[in-house]
Formats: sequence, structure tokens, C-alpha cells
Amino acid sequence: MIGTLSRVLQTLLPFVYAALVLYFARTFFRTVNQEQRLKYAVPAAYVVLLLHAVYIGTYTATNQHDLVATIYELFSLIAFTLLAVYVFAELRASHETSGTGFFVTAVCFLLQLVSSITVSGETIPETKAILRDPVFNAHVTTSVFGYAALMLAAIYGSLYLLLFRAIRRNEFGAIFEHIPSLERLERYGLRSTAFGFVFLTISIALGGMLIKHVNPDASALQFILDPKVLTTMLVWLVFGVTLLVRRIVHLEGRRLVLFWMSGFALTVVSMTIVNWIGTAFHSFL
Amino acid sequence: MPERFVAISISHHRAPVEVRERVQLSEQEMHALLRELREQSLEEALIVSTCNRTELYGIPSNAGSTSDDLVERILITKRLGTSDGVSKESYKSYFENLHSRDAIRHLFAVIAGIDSQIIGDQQIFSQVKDAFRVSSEAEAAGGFLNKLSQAAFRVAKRVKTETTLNEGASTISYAAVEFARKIYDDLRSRTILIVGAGETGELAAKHLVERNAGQIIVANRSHANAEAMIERIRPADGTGAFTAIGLEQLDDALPAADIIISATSAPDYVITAPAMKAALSARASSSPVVMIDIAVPRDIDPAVGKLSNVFLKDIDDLRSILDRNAERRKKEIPKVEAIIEEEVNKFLESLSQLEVGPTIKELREKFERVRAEELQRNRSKLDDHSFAVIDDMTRRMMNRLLHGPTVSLKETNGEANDRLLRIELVRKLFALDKESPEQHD
Repeated sequence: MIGTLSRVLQTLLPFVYAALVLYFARTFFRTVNQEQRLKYAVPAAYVVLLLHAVYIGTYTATNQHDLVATIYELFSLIAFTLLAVYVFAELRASHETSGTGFFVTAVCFLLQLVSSITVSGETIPETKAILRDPVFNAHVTTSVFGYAALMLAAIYGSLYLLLFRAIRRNEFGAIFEHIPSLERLERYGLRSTAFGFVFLTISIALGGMLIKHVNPDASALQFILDPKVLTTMLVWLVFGVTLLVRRIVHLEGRRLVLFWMSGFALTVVSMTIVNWIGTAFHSFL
Repeated sequence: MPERFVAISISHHRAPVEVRERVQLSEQEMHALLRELREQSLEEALIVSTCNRTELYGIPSNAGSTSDDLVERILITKRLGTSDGVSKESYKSYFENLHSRDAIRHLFAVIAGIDSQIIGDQQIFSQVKDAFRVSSEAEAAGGFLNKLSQAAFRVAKRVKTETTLNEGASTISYAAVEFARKIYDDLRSRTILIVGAGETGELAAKHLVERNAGQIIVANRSHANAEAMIERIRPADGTGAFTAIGLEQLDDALPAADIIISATSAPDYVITAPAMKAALSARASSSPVVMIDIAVPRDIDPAVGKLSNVFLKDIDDLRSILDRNAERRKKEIPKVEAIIEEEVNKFLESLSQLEVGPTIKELREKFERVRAEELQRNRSKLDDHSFAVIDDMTRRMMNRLLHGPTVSLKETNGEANDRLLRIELVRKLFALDKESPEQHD
């Protein structure tokens, strides 16, 4: 029964995300009465999140592990977290309408589509029993939330730079018309960065707690020097510094956006290199 | 009634500004003219008078009143065509006459903004709304105009919610503010510097105040004029901080300004590149500075635009925003026209429904009255039995004769306009509007 529900939701979710993309697209491409059109944005996003949460729950119950065993499972978790962070970073917090939902939900849709097509209820070998550990699951989930928030900040940052360039070049077309103001993009981006920073902090702390549990012989140095931990710490540091310079040095505008965008670029590059050269997820496992 | 509805209009389509401004009526003149027209020639009347148009709508109370008479009344009110060196005929040639459905459609087009000089102009809505208020105050608005006003407001509302006709800036000063809001949309926490206390600067400042600008500094060569402008733009609720400074203090005010709108008539640059460079170095934050130069000749050195973190736009840049908006608005016209057509039909439909019942009632009453009068006239010539037979026979005859017209009037198929024409025809044929006690004899 639960397994059937999980499979039904797995098939259904890309369609649900597609509907959400269409809803936001309708607002993005038409300027008439935007506030009225976005009236149902938060409830609609909540419905999608609820369905996705049920999917995660039923999938976990059926397969005895969270959506963390493979990269394609992670795609679904990233879609969920990206939407959740978006709802809390912008939709719920903003009293004004914005065209960004179209971009965010489009990314969520693509991630969920790939995940739904490829995931087939992975079985976890006994050697990877850690994948069933609740602390580990919390560690991975918070980590995904952190990276999703940073991905969202990158979306806002990209839109900021696009609009900035359009204004400088006197291109008063669709980008100028539909993307929210630079001030709002910066505000939402910073909020997402703060979310990401908090989640990554929790994830790193949970990882530190976990290391002794999975490998009693591993030292603190081993933990810190692990390539994934090292890159995560570096990313965490860049975003922490972004928040700090905003407060202390009053860094604002394009320079601040470039700062956090460089953090995201660093994340992508370092994660790609680490995954390419590494055999295990963490060296101490 | 709607088929008697007429409109005379002098507008930017046919008349140059020097003619329009002479014909434009003040609210006081509108009041006086409406009362006069109501007493003498119109059952109901409405006057819309702005810088771009003066229009008189009304229902003539007798067949003798023509559109020409109404034009004449306006010219007399304004004392035009007598001592101003321009003939009345010349003025009259600028006027356009509209009747019935066309007059209603025209009013709807005006309130929707598609007849305006700047298509999609939103100011016209409040001007038409005011016109209805004045008409009501002058006791020139009756049932017809009240229903017409409701329909007209419905058109304006639908155009606003169903089309993009009213969206986007349509004037340079508004475009300047909209552009600034693309960088900073929350103006409450921003410092805005307006350079120049002229008309354009003031208009831009008013738009900024409408959007809750937090702090406005007005810099002007004459400190007194800057202060006077502040008094004019300051919101009634006392919100916002306003400061007047002289142009000699401008360089000191630059570092704090997030948005600078310059509109002076100075022949040279008021803000130079070195001054702005120094201001950027002195800024407390690295947030961008929006600089909008709406002066001709320009107030801000174009080299300022090359400085990092500065968005500098001049009047030509803003004009490209306006052109784009105008293009988009034009594309919306067919949608607006469809709304207008729909609402004209609805309006006429509702009127026909309201008019059919009373018309049938009046028609039957008239026939019954004639029948009763004729019976009474011959009563002495008839015995009781004969009288009863004739009474019954004439009643049945009357019912049979009226059956056709009654069914035709109640017919709901076809255009609302056709039904109204049928009602009007019946009223004319049987002289229902001309009934008076003397005529019965």
C-alpha cells in the first residue's frame, strides 16, 4: 500500500511541479494584475511541498532509507529543499509579487523529472548500513537544504547580474520588465545565503558528531582534511564571510552579489573535482 | 432614451491646444452651465472638461434641441466667437457630434483611456469620475446618467484588471521614477536628491512621494523656491523627511543620495564627473547610485555614467522606455475595444429591460382610456344590454390589437439596440411621451 503510494507520487510529482511552473509562468509573462495572480502561490507551493514530503516519507518507509543513497534520489531531495527554502526565503516573507518563482520552480521541475525517471527504489547493501542512521540522514538532509539555499542564492545572483547588465546597456526588454528590482533580488539572495549558512553549520556539526560513531579510529584532523568536509567548510566560510562583510563593511549591490556568486562557483568547482578524484563519499568512511 | 443621447466633443484629435484651452471649462462654469442646460434644454447632462477635451453629454428634453445648440451654449459660456477675433463657425468646426450608441461608446473609450493623447492615461478616469460628481451636484444627473456612470466605471475597472493598457510609465517624470524603482523598489529607506525645483522636478518628486519616498532633498539655485516646492509635495499625513538646500551645497549632498533626479535649466553640467567620483568615495555603502538626467541641456556630465556602481540615464534613454510602453499599450487597444463593445451592449440591454414594462403599461392605459372615453360619450345612446355588449366587444378588440405590439416589445432575441428602437418606435407612434390631459379631449 505504502509502496504503491510512493510509486504513484513518484510519477505524479513531475506533473505537479510542471503545474506550478505554469502557474508562475503565467504571472511572469503577463503583467496584468500580478498580485491577484500570485494570490495562490503560497498555498500552491505548500500543496506541492506536502505531496513531496509524503513521497519522501513513503519512499523512506518502503526502502528503509531516505532519498540520499544515489545522486538521482538526491535530485528529488534537492527539488524539495529548493522549493521549501524559496517559500520561506521569499514567498512567505514578501508582500510583493515577484517573477522569480518561474525560474526556481523550473529548476525544481527538472530535478524532480530526472529523479522520477531514474529512481527505482535502490536497495542498500549491508556495508552501507550508515545510510539508515537517523543522524546521518539528518546530516545529509541539512546539507542538501544548505546547498539548495545556496543554489537559490545563485539563481537570485544570476538574475541580479542579468538585470544589472540590461540596465547598463539600456536594454529595457523582458528582463527589465519582468525581473524584480535589484534591491529585492539582493535581499532575497542574502536571505537564502543566511538559510544556507545556518543549514550548512548544522550539517557540519552533525557530521562531526557522526564521525566517531561510524569510525572510532578517525581523528579530528582526518575529519577536517577530508576533501568533502574541506570544501564544505570552505563554502561555509565564503557564505559566512558574505554575511559578515554585508554587516561590517556595508558591502552592497553588485560587489556583494559577485562575492556570493563566487562562493557558489567555488562550490560547483570543488564538488566536481572532489567527486571526480574521490572514490568514497568521505575519505574516513 | 439612449437613442436620444447626444454628445458634442472638442478634443486633441481635431483641435489645437490654443483652441482647447479657450474652450476648457472650470468646475464653477460647469456647475452653472449644467444647471442652465437642465432648466432649458436637457433632461440630464454631463460635462467632461480637461486640457485635452471638453465634452458635453446629454438627453435633449425636446426635439428642437440640436447638437449645434449645445455647442452654442458652450461658446456663450466661454464668451467665444464674439470679441476674440475667431468666428463661431470656426470654433464649431472643431466640434464632433455623436449620437446614441456612438456617444455611449465614446464615453466608455474616454474613461478607458484609449481616446487620450497618451494612450492608457490613468488621470482621465478621475476626471470623468469628477464630471459625474459635478453633474450630480448640479442636479443634472438622473436615472440614465447614474446607470451610465456605473457602466463607465465598470469599463475602467475591467480595462485595469483584464488588460495592460494602464501599465508602465507614460510621461518622462513617471518613467524616471519607475526606472529608479527597478533598482530600489522600497523608497522608504532611500535618500533622494531632486536637483531643480521646476515643473518636471516637482512632478517626479510627486511620483516619488506617492511611492512612499522616505527622504527627499530638493536642491535649487533659489532656496526659497526649493522650500516652496517642498510645501507643495509634502504629504498631508506628514510622513517623509524633506530638506531644501541651495545648489552650492549640492556636492555635500551627493554622497548620501541613492537616487538623483536632475531637471534644472542650467546651461552647464550641474554634477561633474570629479564631484561624483569624490561623492562615491565618500559613500557609506557600496549600493548603486541611480542618476536620472531629465534636463535639456543635460545637467549631469555623461562621463559620470562610466563610473562604477552608477546608473546614469538621460531623457533619450527614458524615451526608449516610453516608446516601448506606448507600443505595448497600442497592442492592447483591440482588447479594450472588445470590452467597450460588450459593456455598451450590456448597458443597452439593461436599459431596454427597464423600459419595456412601463411602455407596455402606458400603451395599454392609453388604449383603455380612449375606449372608456368613447364608451362614455355614447352611453346615453345605448341601453344597458347594448352597452355591456359593446363594452365587452371593444375590450376584446383592444386586447387583440395590442397583443402583437406587446409580444414584439417583450421579444428578447436580437440586439439590445433593436429592442430599444422598437420601444422608441412604439412610444413615437402612439405619442406616449407627449401625453397631456388637454390632448384627451
